Amino acid sequence: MAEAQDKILEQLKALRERYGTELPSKIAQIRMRLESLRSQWDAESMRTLHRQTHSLTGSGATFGYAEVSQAARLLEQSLKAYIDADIDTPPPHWAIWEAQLKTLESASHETSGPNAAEPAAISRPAVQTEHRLLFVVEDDTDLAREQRLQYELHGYVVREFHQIEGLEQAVREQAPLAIVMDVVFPDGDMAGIRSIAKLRAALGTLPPVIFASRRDDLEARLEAVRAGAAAYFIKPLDLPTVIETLDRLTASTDPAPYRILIVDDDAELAYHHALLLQRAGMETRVLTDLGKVLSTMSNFQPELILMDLYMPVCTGIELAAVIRQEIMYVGTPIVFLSVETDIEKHLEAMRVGGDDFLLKPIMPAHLLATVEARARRARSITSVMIRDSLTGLLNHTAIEEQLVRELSLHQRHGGVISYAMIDLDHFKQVNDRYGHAMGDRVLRSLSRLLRQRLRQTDLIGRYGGEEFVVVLPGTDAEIATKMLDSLRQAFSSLVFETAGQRFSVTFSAGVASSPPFKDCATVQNQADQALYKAKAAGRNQVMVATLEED
Amino acid sequence: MTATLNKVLYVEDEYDIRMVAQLALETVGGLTLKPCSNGEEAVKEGPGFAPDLILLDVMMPGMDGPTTLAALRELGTLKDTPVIFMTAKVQPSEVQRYRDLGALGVIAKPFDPMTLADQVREIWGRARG
Repeated sequence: MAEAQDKILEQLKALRERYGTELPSKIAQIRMRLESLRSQWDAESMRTLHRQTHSLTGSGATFGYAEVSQAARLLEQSLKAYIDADIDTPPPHWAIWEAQLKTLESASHETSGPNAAEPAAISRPAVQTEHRLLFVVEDDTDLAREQRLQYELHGYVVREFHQIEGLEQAVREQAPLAIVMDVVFPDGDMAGIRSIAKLRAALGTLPPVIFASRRDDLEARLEAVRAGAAAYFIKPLDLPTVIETLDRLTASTDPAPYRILIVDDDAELAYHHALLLQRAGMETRVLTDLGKVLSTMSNFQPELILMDLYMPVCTGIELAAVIRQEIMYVGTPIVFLSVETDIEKHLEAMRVGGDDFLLKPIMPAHLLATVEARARRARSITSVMIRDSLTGLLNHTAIEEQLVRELSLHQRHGGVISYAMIDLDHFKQVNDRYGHAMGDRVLRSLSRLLRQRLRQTDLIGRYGGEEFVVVLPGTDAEIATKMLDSLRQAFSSLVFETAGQRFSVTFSAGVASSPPFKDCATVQNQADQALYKAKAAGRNQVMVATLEED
Repeated sequence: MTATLNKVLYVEDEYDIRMVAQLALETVGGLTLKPCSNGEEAVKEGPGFAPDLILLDVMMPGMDGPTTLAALRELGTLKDTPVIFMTAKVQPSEVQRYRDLGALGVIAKPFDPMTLADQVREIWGRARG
């Protein structure tokens, strides 16, 4: 009803206007507090200042003041960097804060003001509302439907098109993450490819396009390349491989920020480096009190340590050796910073496990490039260590560690956690009949399905062979069983195809929860026994372990 | 726990944001909201209201979000009520911390009033399996 909508917009406008009238005084308060901190330093007042700024970050755009949110976020981050550094002497960073406050003040004077009808520039939700939309353009309605069903099982939302007409309009209205396009249409043998080329020319940019075609000739493939194809598959389609390609093409590419620990007794320099790295999107912590080094490592879990070589209590080399005493940190990259030009000292730094040596004064771009490159490499090495190479899921050791951790967390805070063991049925037959390459594909399909359908908080691991494990925090046995059963049904309806043969695979699963079971070993044993019962009862089912007298 | 989302206990210290969230969740979203301006009020009003979901601002003066959650969990009836945090800080390490505290998810501020209810429902729906 347009009337109800109008009323809502009116109310929103009123709220926004109210916010607008109060905004100048909120910012004036921030200004006053900053000024008073300059003349009389007070840690508590500093924290209040941060909170007041933080409040503007979190509200501005909601009320139509997107620039206020952005400007406040910058100032807030600077203030936070200082607070996190745990320095209790007054900061010398007033110039930066002053500049950022000025930007905030001018952002609030935006005379264009809030437009009630237009949604403001809102930050992306931390937990994504992902509508993983795909367009499937295929004139064979059976094939179109078959694709849609399979893609939907993997968490995509699919719109089917049985002709090329109407595709451009649809893409203009709501662009999909990717398009799967047939090549041959009643309009012509290259109609699919030609229409994509035209579409790209008309719109300027297109989401990735995958072509699906019976045509395997060079002419068609060349035309596809020229039309900017992301992939080209021959029919009959190997849907698991198409899905893998879709996943790859539509994956978001934002990695989580790298966590960098900066160790330097020179607070100001440390702070400058911290800001530099933060502006590049990294998360930083500054450590000036060396006594806290190991507890900071444990809390912050840095992926790289930037360390000054000469400090009053000890040298960077000595501190690095202390850090490396802990097995957990043997692999954490350490980059030294120093004015030291003596090559012997450089070599000694490497010997105790330093990874790089940078000379001060250092060009910001150089520091950034070194830190980023080393952090990226460290992260990919860790990933290899904790992940199964075939499926990308956590390996046996890693998932067990996570189970122990989650169990202790849940026992401390209360709540429930479920653990499930999943085992593919008759998997040996799949390998024997269709080959190991096919078997691998089945394993990858299951892992993809698990990743798509489970929540961000759930942990998924592969135990090796055909056994998988999931840890479901905050989930009781009943809900866990429902979730697994739904997964079981979804997986059993996947159709694998190879050399003209089609087949499906099922799995059995055993679920155990804590409570009632308490420790890691018991939970695992109970889930294992439940799995055994599921197999004995005929497979392709989910069983739950209950507390009963044996 | 009920299957459909209806009653939401909402704790947020800022008046403006409470008002717009009420518009977003009740008028636009059709939910029944119990807004509280601080943790103490939430502890007092929460059990009687018997919410399906608790929506907590993180940064509040006095009792902050996590402290309020701990206090609510002490109350028998709210021990297992699902919780979503709202915060302008969405660094992954902090998000992980909120999940470790038992949150279903985290909604970022500033939020869009027209889609807030959708976001809440989406997190709720996914947790239901």
